[in-house]
Amino acid sequence: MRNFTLTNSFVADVRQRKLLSLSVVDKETCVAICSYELNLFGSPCFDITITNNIAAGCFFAGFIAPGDECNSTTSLKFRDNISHSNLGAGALPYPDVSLGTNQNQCYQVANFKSYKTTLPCVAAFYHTKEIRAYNLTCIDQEKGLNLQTAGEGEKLVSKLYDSFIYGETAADDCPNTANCRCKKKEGLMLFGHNKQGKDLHIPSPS
Amino acid sequence: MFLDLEETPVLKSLEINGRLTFMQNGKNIHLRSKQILVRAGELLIGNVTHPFEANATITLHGVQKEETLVLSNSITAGNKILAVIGNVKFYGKPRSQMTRLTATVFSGMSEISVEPGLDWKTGDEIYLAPTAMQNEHSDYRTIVDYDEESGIVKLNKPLQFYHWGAPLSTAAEYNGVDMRGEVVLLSRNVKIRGEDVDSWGGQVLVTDFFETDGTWRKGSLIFDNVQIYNCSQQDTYNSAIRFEAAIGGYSNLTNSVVHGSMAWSANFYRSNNIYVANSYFIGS
Repeated sequence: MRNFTLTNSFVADVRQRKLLSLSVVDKETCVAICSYELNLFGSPCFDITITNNIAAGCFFAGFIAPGDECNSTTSLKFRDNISHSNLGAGALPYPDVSLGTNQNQCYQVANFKSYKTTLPCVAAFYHTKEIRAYNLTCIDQEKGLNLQTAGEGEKLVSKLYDSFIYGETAADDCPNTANCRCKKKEGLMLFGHNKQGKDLHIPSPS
Repeated sequence: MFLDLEETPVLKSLEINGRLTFMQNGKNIHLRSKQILVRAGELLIGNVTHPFEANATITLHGVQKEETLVLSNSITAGNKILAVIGNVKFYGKPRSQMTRLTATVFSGMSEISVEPGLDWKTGDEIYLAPTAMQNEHSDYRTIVDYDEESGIVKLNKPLQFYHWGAPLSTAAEYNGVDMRGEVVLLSRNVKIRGEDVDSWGGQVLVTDFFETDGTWRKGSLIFDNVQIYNCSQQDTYNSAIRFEAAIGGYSNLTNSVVHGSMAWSANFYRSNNIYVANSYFIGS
């Protein structure tokens, strides 16, 4: 994939589908960016621009998106997108395989906003020694923001900068007794490390 | 060649090797076919300076077991298809695409409030996105009346779900996030739809193709203000609009809507030079 732009667009109401073959699990999300073909690492994509989009009413995640190089300030690969009202996470940023092995040392996600998700607004569980996040905005999420590293290593680092985490807002979850979802909520989960790492999409039925 | 029939018979297949243009004479045109292959030529509806004025509809017919189009060994084209290895350019009329709820609405209400001054009209279809935690709380409705001065929209039936709205954006309070419910227009005057039969939708495929003489056909597509609905095919990766191995051409998908899909809305796979902007992929 080369020279692809998705901008100012809106993706919504993506439902879970039941495939006829019970041995196959569908790979779900509203917007899967270069993550689909190779489940563990994603596939190489070049000159990708994903900016100013909204993904709403998603299953599993709003976006599964390749991360930026650490210290990058100008990348438009995944920037200023918003996701909300998901049965799942807002975004799952993963190390970008198109940059060789650099992102297995360090990668970052920046300028993403999410609200009303049942899983973290941003979560990462992928093979890298360092993950950084800048300028995230997380509003009214059930599970807290969670940045993890994965793989073997000694000095493993998760860093969060200049971000905003809000609690409940005027946009009520329980406006009346009908259709109400009242759950305990978290702003932040303790960051950690998992040795195995996770697939970008759920690989098989459990 | 110009197409000026208000409704064609259902063609078994249509292969375009020259230029086929929908006639701009103020009349609605409806092209019906089981397969359309735009090969060494182009299919045109409107143009940049003169978007199509009346309604242009392409209906893709057929059931799941319909005869399939075979292009190459590497691409599963399938059936009920508009396949593009040449050039397709469709330009519909620009519309007011999306707004926000300016007041909260609850289940059972048949009126919503949005911004005034839109071009929405009776019969337009709209989508209301979920605003709470429940991802499935979407509503699809048809406009019975829109008051351009007040922004009040009367709906064809009561809403099923609660959607949060407010007179002013919440962006100033929440670091740039406007949490008011999105309301999206689904209707356009240039439409591609799958015949509603067998729970099997239509599909648009853009790809490249090498002729036996070595000629490289580079699939290119421009959709501006186009509506695609009742498309994509269950239990397959045949999305409503699919770019697969479209390497050599350039494609733009702008101001368009893909909705009511039976599986994936869009799939951009091993393809280059694609620009998607101000477009809406809703319900899949």
